[in-house]
Amino acid sequence: MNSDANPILTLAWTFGVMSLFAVGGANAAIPEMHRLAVDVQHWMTDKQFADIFAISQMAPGPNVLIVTLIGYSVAGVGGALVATLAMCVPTAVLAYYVSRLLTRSSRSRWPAIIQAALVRFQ
Amino acid sequence: MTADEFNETFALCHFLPGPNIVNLSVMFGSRFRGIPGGLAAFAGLVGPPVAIVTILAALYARYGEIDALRRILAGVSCAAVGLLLSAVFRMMMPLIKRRDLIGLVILAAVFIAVGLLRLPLPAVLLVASPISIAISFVVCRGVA
Repeated sequence: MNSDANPILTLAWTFGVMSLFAVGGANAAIPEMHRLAVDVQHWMTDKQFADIFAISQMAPGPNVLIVTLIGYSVAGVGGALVATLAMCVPTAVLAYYVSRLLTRSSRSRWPAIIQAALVRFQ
Repeated sequence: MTADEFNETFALCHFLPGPNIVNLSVMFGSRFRGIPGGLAAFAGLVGPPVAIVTILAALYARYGEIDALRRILAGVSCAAVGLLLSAVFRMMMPLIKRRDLIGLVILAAVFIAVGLLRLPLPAVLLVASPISIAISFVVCRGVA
């Protein structure tokens, strides 16, 4: 993850990893996005990050699209697409398999065990 | 999909990492038509906004330095931060109402670690989640 690496690859890696830790949705990851984009990668200034946050909240669609704006400012349209897909696809695939596991009932005992465990924590 | 199924799926999406609404749309689509359904729901939810946001990003890159625009965006970001704070408050109220001291202590610790000390989120979660789960486990067993 050094700064002379291809920026598109850095974007993909950064947001791909971040998505897996964004428990509680995209807004929970905003401090982490700020840390990486401003402090670690120096992609933008504090002020630009605040502007981008404002645009993402104002625009239609899910709030996760702040990553589209970060991607665009780093590497143009390609960066915007790569950042968006990196942030959405890994967890969407995870969600797909978890959903399938939980609906494909009786043969496996795991769904019942996981669901019972989750209810207990609530 | 019944209301119960929807609630169950919605709760699951809050538990899983990543953008909740995107995950929900993929699960919803795949219930009906498998992988193509999930892809279609994803493309439908994310596609048009991405196009709009990309255009906004291009406009910002070109006109972001204009003074009036900077001041407009400063106002909007204040409002957006206010909305975010109100969402945080709504999530925190159940902990306060239940006098859930452990929950509030963990909340404060994670806030200090991520917000003030600027530690990396993955590291904080990998430490805080097992501790929080272990405490809940012990407490629930004590009650049951």
